[in-house]
Amino acid sequence: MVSLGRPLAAIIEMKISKQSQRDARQLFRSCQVGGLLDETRVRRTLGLLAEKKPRGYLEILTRLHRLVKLNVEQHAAVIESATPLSAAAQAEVKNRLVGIYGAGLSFAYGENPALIGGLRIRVGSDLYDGSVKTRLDKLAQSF
Amino acid sequence: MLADLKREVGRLVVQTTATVTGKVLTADDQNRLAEETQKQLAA
Repeated sequence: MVSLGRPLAAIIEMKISKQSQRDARQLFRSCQVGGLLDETRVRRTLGLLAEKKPRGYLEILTRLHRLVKLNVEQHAAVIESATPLSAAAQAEVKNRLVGIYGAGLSFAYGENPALIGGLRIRVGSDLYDGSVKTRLDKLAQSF
Repeated sequence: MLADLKREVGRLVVQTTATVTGKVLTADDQNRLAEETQKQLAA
């Protein structure tokens, strides 16, 4: 286990120099293959940073962590269904999402009876909500 | 006061509808609702 030598909160709050931001962006780009983040490259880059400890490496690590986290969130698709969705229907949804957002999406599927009916799909900050619950919530707000 | 009453009646109607709807939706209804969301993706 690697000790960072200072409280994690202080590292997160630290002001990151422009040079470190540039370095982190450059490293982030080098971790991409065909526009998609390559986990192996990310791990290798993090390992090299931790090993070589270049000037401002903690800042670079912090910024790089943020860039990777944002990228992962942007490529995370969460599919919620009020009732069990058949494998064929799940595949159909996934295909449509890949058609819109391209490859590199990670999928999570779950049942949520609170939706009452329909689907709710979130990809990054985009939301496709056809659930009965949301329709009723909107109706309730109109009174 | 009338506005409050209207809001309260509306809330109760929606609450009751939410409770009942989940029980009356058939598998076909659920499929149709799921397809509607999928169409949003295509739009």
